[in-house]
Amino acid sequence: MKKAIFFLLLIIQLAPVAFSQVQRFPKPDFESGYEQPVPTQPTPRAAVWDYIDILVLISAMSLITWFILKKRSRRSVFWVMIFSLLYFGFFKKGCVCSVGSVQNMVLALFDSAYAIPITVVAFFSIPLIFALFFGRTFCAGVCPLGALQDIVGLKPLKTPAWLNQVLGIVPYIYLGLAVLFAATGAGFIICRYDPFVGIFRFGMNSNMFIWGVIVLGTGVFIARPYCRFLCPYSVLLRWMSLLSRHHLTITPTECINCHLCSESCPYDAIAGPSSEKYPGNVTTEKWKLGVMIVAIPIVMLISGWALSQLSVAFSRSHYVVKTAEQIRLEDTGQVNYTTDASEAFRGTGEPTTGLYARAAKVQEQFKLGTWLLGAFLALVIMIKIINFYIWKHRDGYTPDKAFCVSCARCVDYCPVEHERLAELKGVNLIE
Amino acid sequence: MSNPETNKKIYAILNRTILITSIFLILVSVFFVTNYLQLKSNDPLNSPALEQLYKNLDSDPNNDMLRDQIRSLDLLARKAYFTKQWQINTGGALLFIAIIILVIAFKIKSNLRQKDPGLNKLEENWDDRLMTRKWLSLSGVILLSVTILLAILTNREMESASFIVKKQKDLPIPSENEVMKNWPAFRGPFSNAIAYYTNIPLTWDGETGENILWTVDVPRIGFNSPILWDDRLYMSGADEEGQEVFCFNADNGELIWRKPVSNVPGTPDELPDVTEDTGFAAPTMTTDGNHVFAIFATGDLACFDMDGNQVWVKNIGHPDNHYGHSSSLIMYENLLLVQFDQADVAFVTALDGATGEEKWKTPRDMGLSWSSPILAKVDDQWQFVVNATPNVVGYNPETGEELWRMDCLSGEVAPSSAYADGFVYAANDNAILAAIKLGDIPELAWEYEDDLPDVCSLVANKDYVFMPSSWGTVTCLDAKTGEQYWLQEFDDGFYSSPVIVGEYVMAMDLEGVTQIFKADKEFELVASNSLGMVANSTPVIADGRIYFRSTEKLICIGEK
Repeated sequence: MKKAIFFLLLIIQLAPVAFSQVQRFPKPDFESGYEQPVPTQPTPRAAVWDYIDILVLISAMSLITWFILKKRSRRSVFWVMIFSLLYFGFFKKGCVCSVGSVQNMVLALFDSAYAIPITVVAFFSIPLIFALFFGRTFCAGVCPLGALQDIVGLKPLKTPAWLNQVLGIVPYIYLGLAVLFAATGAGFIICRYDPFVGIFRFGMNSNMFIWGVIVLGTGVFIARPYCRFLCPYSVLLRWMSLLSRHHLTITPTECINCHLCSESCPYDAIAGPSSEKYPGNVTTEKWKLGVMIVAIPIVMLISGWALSQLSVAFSRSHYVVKTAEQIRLEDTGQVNYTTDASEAFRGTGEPTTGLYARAAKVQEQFKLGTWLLGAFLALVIMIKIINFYIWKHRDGYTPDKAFCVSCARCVDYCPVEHERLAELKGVNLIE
Repeated sequence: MSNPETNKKIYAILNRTILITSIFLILVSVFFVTNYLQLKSNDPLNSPALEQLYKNLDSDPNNDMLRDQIRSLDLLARKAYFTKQWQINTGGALLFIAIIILVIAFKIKSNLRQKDPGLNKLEENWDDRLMTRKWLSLSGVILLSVTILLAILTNREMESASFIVKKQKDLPIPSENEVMKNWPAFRGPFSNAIAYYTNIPLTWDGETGENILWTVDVPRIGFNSPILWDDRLYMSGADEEGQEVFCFNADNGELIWRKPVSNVPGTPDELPDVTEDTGFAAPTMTTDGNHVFAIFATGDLACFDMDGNQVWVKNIGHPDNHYGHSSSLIMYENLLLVQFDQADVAFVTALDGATGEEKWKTPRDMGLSWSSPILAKVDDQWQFVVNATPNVVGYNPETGEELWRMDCLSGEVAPSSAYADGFVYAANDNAILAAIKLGDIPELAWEYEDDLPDVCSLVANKDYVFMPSSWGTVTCLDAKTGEQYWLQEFDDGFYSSPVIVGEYVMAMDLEGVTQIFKADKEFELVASNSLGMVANSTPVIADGRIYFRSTEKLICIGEK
């Protein structure tokens, strides 16, 4: 524990210097014969790299899935993780990443003028396809964000089940907001608030640095905090993984209920055995469940309405609304300064009424979007609660398909697995 | 790895690695922090030495030696800056590598020390499930409550920050009856100077205080007339120092709010030239019961809600005339109608009252005008009637389409038209009083040439036309034929426009004396009431009350 704290403090102490922004240097302010270089556009990246990236992604996904499901080797998973961190993280500088690709997909759906690159489509869909069949093998070691957190998870602590579930709501909120902002053209918030991209690129502003340190620092004690309690893409992966038929199993054969796997899992993603009989009062519980189901549409309506009342505040993140607000403040004499955006707008000669009309259109989109988001979040929470009324009988320990990131740590701890491996090597462990 | 001896050795190596790496990290970090602080605190380009050299160069621009000195120092500063930057970049990479080594060392150590997890739980805990359920429910309730609370707390701000224009049904358009009961523009409802209420006192005296309910100061000078909506009076004031809009309690004269109209984009850099008796706030305000609107001699046009919150403001153009802009505003439903006849440009326009958005704009081939527009309802269709040299023109207020025009005016047109029973009456000194019979093809029904007004407007009902003048005459004519019934000469001339109140006509002269006479073919003076001060505005006629504005006072008349 002490070492973990020491390590954390060290990062906090050193990183601001390492990641401080490069300052612009002013030009010489009188003629010196120096000629300013002509600004040039960087040459576009060769298209072949797009296909290489897709190929690497597919290869990494296939390899790690094979390691998890067939080889059942945590060590192999770890090395794929290192490779992914270096390639998709530091070499590719964290972009394009599957997590952020959600926004591109949404924008492509809502903006016909946006041409989505094939790489983005691949990065969005390939991990989901794998999750649909094999569980979240992408999270296990191909996602550079997950890999980075996995490495710094030096002293993972157990968190209460209820806390995991409550914090598990956050990715839905984040996903909903990301979709709302991308659909309205307000921006890509997942990328804007990506805590790791600055590390991959060796440069970030102070706010991003603090955010990155908080997430990584938390990751020392709470395993993969971003993956579990923030990552919006994980929501989609959870849904897919729930349907997977070839998910990682902890034991190769029958579980002996030794409980070692459950304690080894830093993500609390292993469900223990449960009795056949429903422990609570069945009649009362049925009534409660019925009330919950009936309440779903009502809560969705209230939630949708409530969030839509804040739609104007959300819409302020859109540049059109932001500019229109500034122009209105200037025009009504409420501010005596201008901004770059307002000056640029006035330079266009467009009448303010046109800008206001566009702002109104954006606000109407946000109104609808926040309605839907509010209803969606209410539905998510209600389903989560209802899920805890449903009792499933289990004989042994099994991975929770939604939350298990298929890291294969549990496999290493399973005595049955050890026995299997020993048998393969011809060793009798009992003797 | 399973051999304890080997583990011990690896453990020792790891410990040393961690120690060395940590020392390295601390040293580099000290170096870094120092370098970083130096880079932040030192601004070599703005060093006193360089600043001094710049100053010296300013006073001796041809000194090449000085230039070389500055260049050398400048180059030195840049070299120092980029060297430090390189150090930071390189050091950053070193730090990163060191951190990775540290993480790996910790990780291996952690793996070596890994203990078997304990066995303390064998079955899914029912209490855990109940607890999770409870917390999830609580989280949902908290999230929803916070959202609702925020929605309630920010409701007003959100409303005002919204660009979504409320639908028409949300902003009520006052009915004709509501307009009639109020005094929403210059010369009252539809700017036609016919009062809805007739229960006013017929006598008052500013000297003795007879029937003077209250008198209050108006904070800033203005020659515009008050307007009234419900229980509030609105007026504007302006001078070289500023432009303002005021709201008074009509019951007791209390100043409810006053708001400046300033920092208007596009406002002229220099104030326009205005005459002393026109000033910077001659145009009367208007209202639709949702907002009040004011225009000034600068061309600044402002909209406030009834509580004094500024809704929008814009400059509509720089008025170019030799007295000062004085055409008053008028509302047609939710449209603010503006007459802007200047020396260099002339147009009429309609703006959306709620947003200021231009709905239509019709250029005019007219000369200057100081007249104010009126609204006339002809065969259930409203017309927007505007006077200027040389034409009286009727427009469709919804589209700005010109419906008709009559060439009958000349000179400097200030009086506004009057409308009654299908006739528009327009007059101006050096021109004629023209009675225009509206129809499919408007025609000049009759004309009258004597004792014409040059400032005040005329007023008419279905039987008579009453025409005061600046020289103290009041002429009564037959509304249909133009036959003169009587001509009365008073001691002082009239700038304030007359108003018909039931069976009486009220006209205030230049000395602040209101002449009240019967609206009849026989002249009969009913009363001459002195306000006790000079006032040239047109009075507001309300339920049992009359409101006058002098340049600096607001006076309420009512039965005591």
